Amino acid sequence: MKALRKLLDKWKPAFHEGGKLAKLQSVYEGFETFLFTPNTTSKSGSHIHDNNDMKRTMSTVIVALIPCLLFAMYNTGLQHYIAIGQPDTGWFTMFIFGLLAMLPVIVVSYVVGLGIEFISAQIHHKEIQEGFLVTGILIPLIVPINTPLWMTAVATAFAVIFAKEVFGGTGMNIFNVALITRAFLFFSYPAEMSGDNAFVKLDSAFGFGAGTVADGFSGATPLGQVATNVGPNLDGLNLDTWQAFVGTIPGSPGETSMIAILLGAALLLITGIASWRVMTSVFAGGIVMGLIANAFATPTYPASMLDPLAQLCYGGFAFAAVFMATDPVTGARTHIGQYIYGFLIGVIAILIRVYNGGYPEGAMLAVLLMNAFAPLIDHCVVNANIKRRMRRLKTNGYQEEDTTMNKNSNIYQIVYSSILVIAVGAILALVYMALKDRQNMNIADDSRKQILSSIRVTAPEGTTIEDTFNKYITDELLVDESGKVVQQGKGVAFGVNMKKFVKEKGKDKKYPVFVAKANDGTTKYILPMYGAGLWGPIWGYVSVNEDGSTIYGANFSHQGETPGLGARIAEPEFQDKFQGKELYKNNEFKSVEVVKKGQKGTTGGDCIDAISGATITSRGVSTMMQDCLAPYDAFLKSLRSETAK
Amino acid sequence: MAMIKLKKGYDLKLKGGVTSDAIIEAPKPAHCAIVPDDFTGIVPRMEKKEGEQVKAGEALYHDKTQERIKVASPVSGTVKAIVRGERRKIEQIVVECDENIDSKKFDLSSPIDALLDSGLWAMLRQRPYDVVPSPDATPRDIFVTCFDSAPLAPSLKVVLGEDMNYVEKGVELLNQLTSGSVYLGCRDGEEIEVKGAETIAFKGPHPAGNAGIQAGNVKPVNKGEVIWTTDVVTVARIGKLFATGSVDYGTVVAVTGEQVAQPCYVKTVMGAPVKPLLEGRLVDNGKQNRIICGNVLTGCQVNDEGYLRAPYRHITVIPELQKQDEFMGWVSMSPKKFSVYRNFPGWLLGMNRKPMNVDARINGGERAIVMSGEYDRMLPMDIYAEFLIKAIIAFDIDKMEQLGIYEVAPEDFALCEFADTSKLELQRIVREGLDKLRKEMA
Repeated sequence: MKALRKLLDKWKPAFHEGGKLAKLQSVYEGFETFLFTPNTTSKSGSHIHDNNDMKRTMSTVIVALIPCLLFAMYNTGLQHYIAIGQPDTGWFTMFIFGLLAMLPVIVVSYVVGLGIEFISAQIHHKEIQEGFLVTGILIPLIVPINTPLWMTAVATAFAVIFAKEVFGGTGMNIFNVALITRAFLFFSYPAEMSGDNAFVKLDSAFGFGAGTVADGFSGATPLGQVATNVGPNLDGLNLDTWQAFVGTIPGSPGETSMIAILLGAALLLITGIASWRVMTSVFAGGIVMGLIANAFATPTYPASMLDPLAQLCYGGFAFAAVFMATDPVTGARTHIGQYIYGFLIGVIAILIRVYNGGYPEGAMLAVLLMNAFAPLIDHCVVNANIKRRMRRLKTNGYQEEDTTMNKNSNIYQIVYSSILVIAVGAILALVYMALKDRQNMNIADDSRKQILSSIRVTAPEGTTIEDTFNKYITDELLVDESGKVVQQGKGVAFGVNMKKFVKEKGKDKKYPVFVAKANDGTTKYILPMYGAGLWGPIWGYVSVNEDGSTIYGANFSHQGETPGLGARIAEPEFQDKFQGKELYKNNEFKSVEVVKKGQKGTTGGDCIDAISGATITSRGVSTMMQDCLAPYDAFLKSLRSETAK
Repeated sequence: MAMIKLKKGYDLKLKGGVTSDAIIEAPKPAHCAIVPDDFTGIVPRMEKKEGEQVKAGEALYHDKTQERIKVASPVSGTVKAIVRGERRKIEQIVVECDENIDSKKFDLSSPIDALLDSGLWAMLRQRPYDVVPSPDATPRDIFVTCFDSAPLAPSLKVVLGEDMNYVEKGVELLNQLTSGSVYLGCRDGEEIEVKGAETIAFKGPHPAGNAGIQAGNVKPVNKGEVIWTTDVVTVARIGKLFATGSVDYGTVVAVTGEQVAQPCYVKTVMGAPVKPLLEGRLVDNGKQNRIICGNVLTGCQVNDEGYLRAPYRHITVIPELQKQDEFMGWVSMSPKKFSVYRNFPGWLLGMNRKPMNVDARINGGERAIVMSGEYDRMLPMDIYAEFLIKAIIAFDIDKMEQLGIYEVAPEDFALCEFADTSKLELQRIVREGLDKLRKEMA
């Protein structure tokens, strides 16, 4: 040690003002204080200080994360070998595979994050802060294992710079840095972050492992399976709460094992580093919301059928409760505030998970959301203390000379924001009324455009959409279920409001059909459709050839499907796949099914590959086509017989 | 008699506590000194010049603005030196002692004047601002602490000795000065009950013995009000002044700390040099000593040639460094390391219940406030300490007032400063905040 000390002392001048390496002063000092406890003694105030400092605090958290890290490595290997159909591989091999798979992520996270911290410390001539030591190990534990390294690097850099350094560094950030990394990845690269292929590493790690993926393997996480479940119960799913408790399930590396997380939690609570108030309130909130959801269980929201304790074991809930919610910097800081903060995280996490099918993992978003509210909660709690003090002042006969309104009082703020909301709401309503006609026109034009697009026509420049529409659409029909045309004429089909139409019940419904002359000179029949996606309605138009079976073109639109995932149904890449598919097989109506890549349809009809990561939207398209086109069976059959003649 | 239980705080157990109540008479000091910094809020204007004669209890200097407030010499003798520092700031006034102490006799007809002239007034403190009180304001209440809960602190009962009899007289005098009551804050089980004072027992760890903490839990000071805080030893001195007509600055001092071989009580006089008090009592183990007048949390460091500073009845000697250049101290698993957190193995081995080794190292670098609730668990008052500290750093006067700056003194934050993971100088922050606020409000 003495030799090391001497070496450091020898190098010291070079790193200080005027030295050759003065630009690296912060780095040098960082390493010096890392290696040797500084001999600085107290100059003012207390003469003795507690042995615990930020380095010790942060390293305690890292030690608490070690069980999760080790299990993450083992489980990454385990899932890989299950995927390639060799589940009997030894545990050590699995661990080594996981180690090799995770090591690059850990290295990238630390190199990028600490690099930025070092630069920032040098720019501000500050000591290097320890905050990233924990963040750097959290990132590999919450980022899906298949995330490309460059994405992790970009996300880490973004989070460290924009979520932390711009606010002033460790201790000043508003949002949890590791979660910002995860959220950045999640919203920027949704396709890579969800779906069944994100959580299980299928290719090799440094030439280790790898093999052909076993037949019928699905890497879906339990929550992913639950979210896409159809049917009155969850019996058909491969769910095992005990497995989730142990952690041998697919998922983000660190979050799967409840046992490992509880070990970490025990260390954090015993040492007193993490707030037991936050931690227990998160679990309490989760159980309460889980019970409520379970009490009103419905197949519409499959996750509500999970039992509340299982809710806690699945997904990132426990990990977020123990390691994310307890981040003192971004959480509530008053005791009462911590109870509220933690409880709401638990409630919101389960709320998102259950009632928001798009994000089967709600814990991350819940913590981020409450991060934003933590200062408000504290403000209210501290305000109560201030009020108490003011009341004491008044009862002592002391009058505040200042009679202006107290702008910090809770009532003032609530009234102020209410007035603001009403005023803004009124303005928006006025604008809406004023622009209503114009909007309707645009909506009609948009529908025309979609209809035209289904016969592969776009309005040429210089002409209005309406003109083009009138040129190509030669006739509009309403047909009944027996295939008979009951009404004919311009506007009869266009005037049908599909949203209302699909909800109508009864035998005598009249179904709209557009007759069009396509560019190839043949007649096409365009059938409108309307159904439900993941977030809201989806609709579309299918044009059918004169034979009544072959699809000439299709167009789909949506209101608010996930960008990058479900929203891709509106892209030509997906729509073009429908061209040439047959609605009929052996003279029987089969529709066209959208199924997962490599899987076979259930009806025996033509199939289209689903969009990976957008199971529910894809299924929505499939169902919509089946439901909306089936009533045209008689009409289409009559077309077929005509062409046969 | 009421009893108040305080849950927050911490009793630090250090090595080198006094074990016997026996009091050793120290040799008579050759010279004594007064350090003006000890009398917060007073800007000295000298009354005596170098070479002039002074009696015990006779004023050495008075305050620049409030001339009635005087600081007196603890002994009789000749003013030997007025040591000035930067910008001619008076650092200390050394008085060479006579053979026999010749005390000044005071006219007791006006209690306030007698107190002001004898220098005992300057030993009182007022809240807000934790400064020597102004003679123009009548305090709402007076809070007297009868025990010192700080680490290694002396028992004030031992320090008082027979002077305990003067407490009642002192209380009687204080009652004439306040419109409210005189509260005696005692440790549970060691209550002192005298006529004219309301005794309140406190149960709980340090800082339960701070008069300000006691006031905050009995009747907190509000904006626009003034309370006085002092300790029972000063009250006894006041009683003695009015019983005998002269002031006695003699005091019993506890000499304690890890570097003291035989911790003991020593009888000496306020302002005496520390060297003779420590001579032959220190451990020689090659470690550099840090001599602290007062306790390890709030005391002030003096060097070998330093003097027993006015407000203290306690000297603590600890090593400056336990270990030079400790290798990776932050991963240390040494059971000797103490923390109020339980992330050092010492607490597992029960070491936290035993007296521990300490040194003056800060044990870490200064950081932004990260850990939450750290200060709150060390401050038994209805105050959000962390928010108050932040308001002081930002010097947001409105927020400071709302969060209770008038109720606190730097010493209340001493334990917070000890436990702070971020290693902020909380006492300095609070002191500077109070000084700035006082200037702003004047």
